Amino acid sequence: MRRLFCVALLAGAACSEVSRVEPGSTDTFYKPTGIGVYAGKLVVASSNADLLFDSATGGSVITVDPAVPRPDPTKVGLVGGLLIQSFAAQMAIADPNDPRGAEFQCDIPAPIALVPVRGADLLYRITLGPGGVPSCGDGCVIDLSGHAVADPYSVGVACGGGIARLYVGYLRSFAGVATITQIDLLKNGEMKSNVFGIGQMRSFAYDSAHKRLYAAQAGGIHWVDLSEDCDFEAADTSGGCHGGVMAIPSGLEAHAIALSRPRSEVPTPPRRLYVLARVFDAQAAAAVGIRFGDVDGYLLVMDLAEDLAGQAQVHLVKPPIRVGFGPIAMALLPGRAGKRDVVAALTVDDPALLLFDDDNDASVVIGRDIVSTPSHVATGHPWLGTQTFGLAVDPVATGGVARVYVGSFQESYVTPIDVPLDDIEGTAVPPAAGFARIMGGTP
Amino acid sequence: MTRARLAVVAGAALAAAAGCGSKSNAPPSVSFRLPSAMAVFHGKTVSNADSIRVYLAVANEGRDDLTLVDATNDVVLPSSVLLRPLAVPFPNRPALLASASLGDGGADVLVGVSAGSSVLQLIQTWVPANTVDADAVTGQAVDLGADVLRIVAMPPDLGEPAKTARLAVVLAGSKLAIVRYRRGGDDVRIEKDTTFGTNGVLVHGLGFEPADLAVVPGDGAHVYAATLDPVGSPAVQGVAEVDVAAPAEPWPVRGLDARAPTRLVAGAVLQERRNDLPVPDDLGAIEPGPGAFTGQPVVKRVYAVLDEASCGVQGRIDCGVVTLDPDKTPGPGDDNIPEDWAGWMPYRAPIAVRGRPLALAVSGPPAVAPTDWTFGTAFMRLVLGTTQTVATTAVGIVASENGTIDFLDLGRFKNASTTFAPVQAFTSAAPPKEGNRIWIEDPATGAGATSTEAAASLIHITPGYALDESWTVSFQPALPGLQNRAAEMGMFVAPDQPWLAIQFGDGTPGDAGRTLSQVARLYHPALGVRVGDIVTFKVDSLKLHGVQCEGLAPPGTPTDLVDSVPHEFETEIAQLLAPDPVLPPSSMSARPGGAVVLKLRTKGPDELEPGAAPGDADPPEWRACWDALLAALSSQGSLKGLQVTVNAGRLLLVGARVGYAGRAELKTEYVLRYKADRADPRDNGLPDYAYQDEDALAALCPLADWDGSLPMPAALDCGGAGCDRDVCERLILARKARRRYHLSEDCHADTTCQAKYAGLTFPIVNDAVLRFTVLHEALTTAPIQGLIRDLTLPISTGSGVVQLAVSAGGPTTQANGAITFDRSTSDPTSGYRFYVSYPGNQIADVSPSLNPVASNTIR
Repeated sequence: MRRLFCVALLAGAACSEVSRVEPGSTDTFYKPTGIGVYAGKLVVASSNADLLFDSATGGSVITVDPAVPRPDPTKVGLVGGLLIQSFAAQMAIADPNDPRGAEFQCDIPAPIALVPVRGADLLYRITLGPGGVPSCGDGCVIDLSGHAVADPYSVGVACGGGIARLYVGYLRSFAGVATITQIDLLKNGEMKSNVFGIGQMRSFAYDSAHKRLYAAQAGGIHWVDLSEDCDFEAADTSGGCHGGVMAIPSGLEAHAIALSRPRSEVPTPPRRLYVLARVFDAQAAAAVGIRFGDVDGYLLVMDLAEDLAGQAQVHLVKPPIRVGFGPIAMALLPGRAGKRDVVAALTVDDPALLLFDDDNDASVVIGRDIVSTPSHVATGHPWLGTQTFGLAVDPVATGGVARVYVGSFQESYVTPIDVPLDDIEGTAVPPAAGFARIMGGTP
Repeated sequence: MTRARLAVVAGAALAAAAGCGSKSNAPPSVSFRLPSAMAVFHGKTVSNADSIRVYLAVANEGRDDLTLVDATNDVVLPSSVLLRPLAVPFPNRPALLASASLGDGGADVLVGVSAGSSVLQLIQTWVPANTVDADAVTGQAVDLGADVLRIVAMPPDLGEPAKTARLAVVLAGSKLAIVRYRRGGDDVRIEKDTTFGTNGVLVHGLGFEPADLAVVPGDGAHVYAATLDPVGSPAVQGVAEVDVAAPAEPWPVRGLDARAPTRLVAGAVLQERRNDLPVPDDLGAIEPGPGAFTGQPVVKRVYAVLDEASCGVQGRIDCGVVTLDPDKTPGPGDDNIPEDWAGWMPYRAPIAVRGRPLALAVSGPPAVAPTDWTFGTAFMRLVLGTTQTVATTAVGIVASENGTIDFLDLGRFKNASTTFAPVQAFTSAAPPKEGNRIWIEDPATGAGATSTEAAASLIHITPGYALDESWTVSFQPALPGLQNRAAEMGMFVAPDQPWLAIQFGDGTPGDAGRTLSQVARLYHPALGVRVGDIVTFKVDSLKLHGVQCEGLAPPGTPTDLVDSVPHEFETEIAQLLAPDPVLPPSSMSARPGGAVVLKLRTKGPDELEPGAAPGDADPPEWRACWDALLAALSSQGSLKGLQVTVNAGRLLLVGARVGYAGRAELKTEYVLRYKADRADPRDNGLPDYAYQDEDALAALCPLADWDGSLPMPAALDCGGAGCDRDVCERLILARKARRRYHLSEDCHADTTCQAKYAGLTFPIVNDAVLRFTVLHEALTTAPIQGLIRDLTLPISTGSGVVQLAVSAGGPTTQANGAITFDRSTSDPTSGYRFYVSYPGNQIADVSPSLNPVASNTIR
């Protein structure tokens, strides 16, 4: 008992030593976790995950303009910034004029950045003003507590076709159930929650044409049809939404999903679901009842279809593409007419970015600095940072070149990467080309 | 320093010195790191700098190096510090490896490719340092201009110069390259053969996307590619044969029709077993020794894993490993699959596999026979268990998603079964415990079987067709996939008929051009929906739309729950409707999956309790709901979001794997069989189509091959008639009653077995998958009642096939490669081997040529 008391004392002392009362920075990223792109501007949510700054005001959402250089090479033009609670998670952007097309355009008055915050169990609904200036007015902070869940983490946007909804997943919940909270922006923020199996709900994708939401968690890929103005939390017989779950291969656990862009060819090829999955020892997990450790990470390319009974299903159409340890995030690069998508997949444990062209199976990996050249001595350091968190793609490609952003949690920077869409092999990969690293902005 | 501490330090120093100086036999831990590729090669290493030996190279994608293992004994090569394995640096995530012999006894060519790279890097196998040459400009690496996706070594070709080796390489962008290497001028090193193609390379477009690549031993002119794309002209689904010996671009591509797309491929040259029935002094097909192959020709075979999205019990072919004959020129409507040896099906059934295959490899007989093997090198030993051994001509392995490695006896085109007697297929029936039950009838007495054992003996199966399956015979169960579904309704006019379609979407039911989801293809014969089936509505979902009625509790609901369970009412399917035609400019019809016309249902006589009043067959609660439903349809035009279940009208047979398996009738023998009868059907009063195989039936019912894509292609609706539903039903059931296993056994001297399968001549036993008769009876202490919905008789059947398999210890999830290696030249007893790699940092080395099956895990 005496020993316990001492430990408690020490812990208290430690906490009081590291706690700060200073608010976070509104121009410099700190432990970024979520990033997004709006109108060419980079929007970054910083988490203050080690509580270097005050817990209540240590996090931030900062918008910078990467096109405006500053003398300090780690800084670009600052557009604006505001403080939020610490422990920000993912970020999503909802834009009434989303350049990707009507399927993505939300019927809302102004663009918003959505940032869930763990611990405090909040969702920030931050308005992006002209040029992307972030602001947090009335209704900006949405309380997500009270749903037998905690630690909101994943966030998705469902827009187009008369729908403007947000979906939030959680890392913790009562009895370990996987809960999704729906926030209907067209119904004054009406909030409804439902449970979809067991585990953490990690990623969302939305098919606007079919009003179908896909959500990834340990048990597989859940799908919910949101048409007929169904009630998200009601039973099937009481006007609820219909759906099901698609199993993914044994030993794989989905961590991120993305839906391919619709194609215009006739007959229309099936849409694809890209799944970023962690590989684990399924036999051991079955034997002991819990899943522990990863042995690899895969990008799965799957065709979506319906079986004869009308239930959604997926078919693997390519051998799994290896991405390495700790798959965490995925995004699609801007579409190309008549071609399949280019996918960006991010891993955190073995930090790397995989670019995969689904049209010709070409791939590029930006991993570690391991090749020495006459002008460069390899250091072994990951090119994109030691803990890569946050992945975003500018929805507009300029001159056939897409811009991808990768955040580094540990080093608090964001790396922009330019990808020639029709020749991803031409992506400037260091050390042949150095990477800029954006750590914040200056006015 | 104290004396004690001095002693510890001295001890440690001594121990270290001993370690440095001794030749410890304990191998260092291999510590693979994301092994991604393997190749067996002959060459020099730092461990044996003076002689050419055989090694297994393993690419560690997670550590940017290669690990070398002595392939003769699976011992990893140590580095100079001994405590760690030797690591050959290979930068940027080595993802692919391949090796090929130059045929001169020198070092093999060994190439590797980094993930996402277009460069074949040459590993210098002829020097002990094994330096990796990555320089494609001044060195011997080869930049192929597009990402390398797959590599396979080509067999030597008669037209090729001596001391050369070729690799076939799949490139991103649907291209194929042939790269040739040669022995250098010093007769030791290896270099690009610049006399071949352009700087040693030929690259041609393919026009399809290969999923896997293989060659057939001895055929240096062709490469075989598994693919999901249609290939050849006329286009077929299967394996592409690319003629890389052709002089000009494009290389000719011929499609080997496998009846479905393929994912994995391998090749072999072998003899296949005879098909003769046993006669005195000649066991023919069932001979376990080389006699089974006497007189058989040596043939080329390509083995491919069928793509599970297209194969299956509803597809043109079941899933598994299909055998293809590249030398077969199929006639119209035929394929490249060898004929069914038993003459029953129009093609040889694929070899069944248990999980989803992730890797496939094939080995022929080893070059040197084991000392205790008396059948020479034309045959290989396949140990099927502790007491069973057969001689065969090729063995395959399938590493599956479930972590197991299954062995295939390719000489007998079958699973290697540890029992060697799948005639021991079995059945069982669990007696339901309700007061009334559906039970197996004993035809001899007309009464129920007296015991579970007696019931099991009255359920007839046929070895080779018998499935490892859980069946249910149920009264009015939900049809598979059609339980608690969202439906919408409308009214046809003149005559007024209420229609129902199972679909979900915004807009007005009955309107064309809507975007719909969860569309049940009710018109597809595979769903098994029939006129006379029941559509059950959840009353709560009706009330949401203003249809006010109470309905009834589901049949069989306990009295105390009648008021609390959701109530239902029942209708009957009066007509089955084809999908509406698509009328431009709309791209989707109103009911793209088809629909049904409903009428109010009346209970059948045997659903009523004894002594029931005549009106009980037509419950007023149902009529009230029906009237309210019609009224709502009249006033609202349509309804949607209704919760319905489609139930069978009477008895339904369902298999856990095969799904819908037909309709049984009480006290009438039900037979699930590939063909209705082996006799002339006219003699038995059966229609002509009963005598036809699945291809003949498919020609009469193209609707069955509707893959479910919407809208349904107009050509499939058979002119609006929907084909003959009886023919379609027969086809659907025939596909579920296909041969599953290829017998090469008989009952031997087992008299019980002989009695069980009296009248059948093994191994050709074309008969029923399942045959039984059921009745409805009361248990001895209970009165007979009306038939209750979901009253179920469970039946289990077993194939008798116990797959010979091994499972490596440790994480065996997601095997990512398999290769074969003949160790017999260094160790005849070890024989032929298979290496299987796993991302969980281990490699399994297995061989069924040893007893027990060899399984060594390298990690």
